[in-house]
Amino acid sequence: MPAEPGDQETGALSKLLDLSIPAHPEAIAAVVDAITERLERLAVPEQKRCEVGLAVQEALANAVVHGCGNDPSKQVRCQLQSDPMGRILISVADPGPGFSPNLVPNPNSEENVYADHGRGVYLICQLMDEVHFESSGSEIKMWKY
Amino acid sequence: MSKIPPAGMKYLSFYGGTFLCANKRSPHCLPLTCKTPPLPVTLNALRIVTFQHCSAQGLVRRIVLDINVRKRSQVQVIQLRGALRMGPAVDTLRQTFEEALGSGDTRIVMNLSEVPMVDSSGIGVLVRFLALIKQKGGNIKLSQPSKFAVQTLRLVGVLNLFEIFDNDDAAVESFV
Repeated sequence: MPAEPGDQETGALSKLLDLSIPAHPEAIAAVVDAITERLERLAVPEQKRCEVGLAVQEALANAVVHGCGNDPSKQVRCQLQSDPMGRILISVADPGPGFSPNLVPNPNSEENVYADHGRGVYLICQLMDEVHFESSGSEIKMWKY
Repeated sequence: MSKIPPAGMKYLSFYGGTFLCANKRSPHCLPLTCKTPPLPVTLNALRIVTFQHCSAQGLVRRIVLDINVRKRSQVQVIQLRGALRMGPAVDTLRQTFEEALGSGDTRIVMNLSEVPMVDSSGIGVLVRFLALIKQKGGNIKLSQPSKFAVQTLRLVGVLNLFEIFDNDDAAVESFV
């Protein structure tokens, strides 16, 4: 997936988008749409775009709700990058204290099947090829090959 | 602020933290201070829009979700158009279900043919109310869910909680 003119080269990664939004649920959709639109222009297949879009939606939702406590005075940052092999990297960072992904309950367990929350992290890990939590969990980096 | 909506379509606009209600062909600003909008008692068609400031285009009106509710043979058929994700879309669906429960409507068909994305918040509302409605002897059945919606429901292990149909007619008839 070639970089477009104007993309910034940072080492082996090309920065395609760098967005900051206030921590409000309504601000998330615009970022998800911007990312999927950019991927469409780069001829990324639809199925992959859908999977990346949903993973970004989940990561941003967690950042807004848990990282920022739905405080619109705080900012969530989202970056879209690609490497020379065409692999996509998406980073979402919030100013919160972070969390331990190992402590997230398993949504597939019997007692959680009808739960109305708690599936976001699990979904991200299912949709993306690699997921890394950094900065004590306040930043997530997701790869899609 | 927004175009005059087509006749019969109620618009609920979310603008800068305040909900403005536009009725039929005479939109008027009715600022509401509550966080979630008070929905009409008989909800037929609702379009949820949001306004966002864009540096390039100024004030941009974005359609969040269309919800169309109709009753067929004592079954509520709810058709959604748009992404079912955290925010006004999920909040409004939650209220729609609460209204149905409050009215004793426990037979519900959800048409998801035009729902390209269901996030974990949307899934949460679906399964939570599926459980509540089943406790009252009812059910929520899915009609024509989009391919990606099916994939998402399967990924989180809840697809098998729902009965799925190829069209609304079959889903409605299954309640008989």
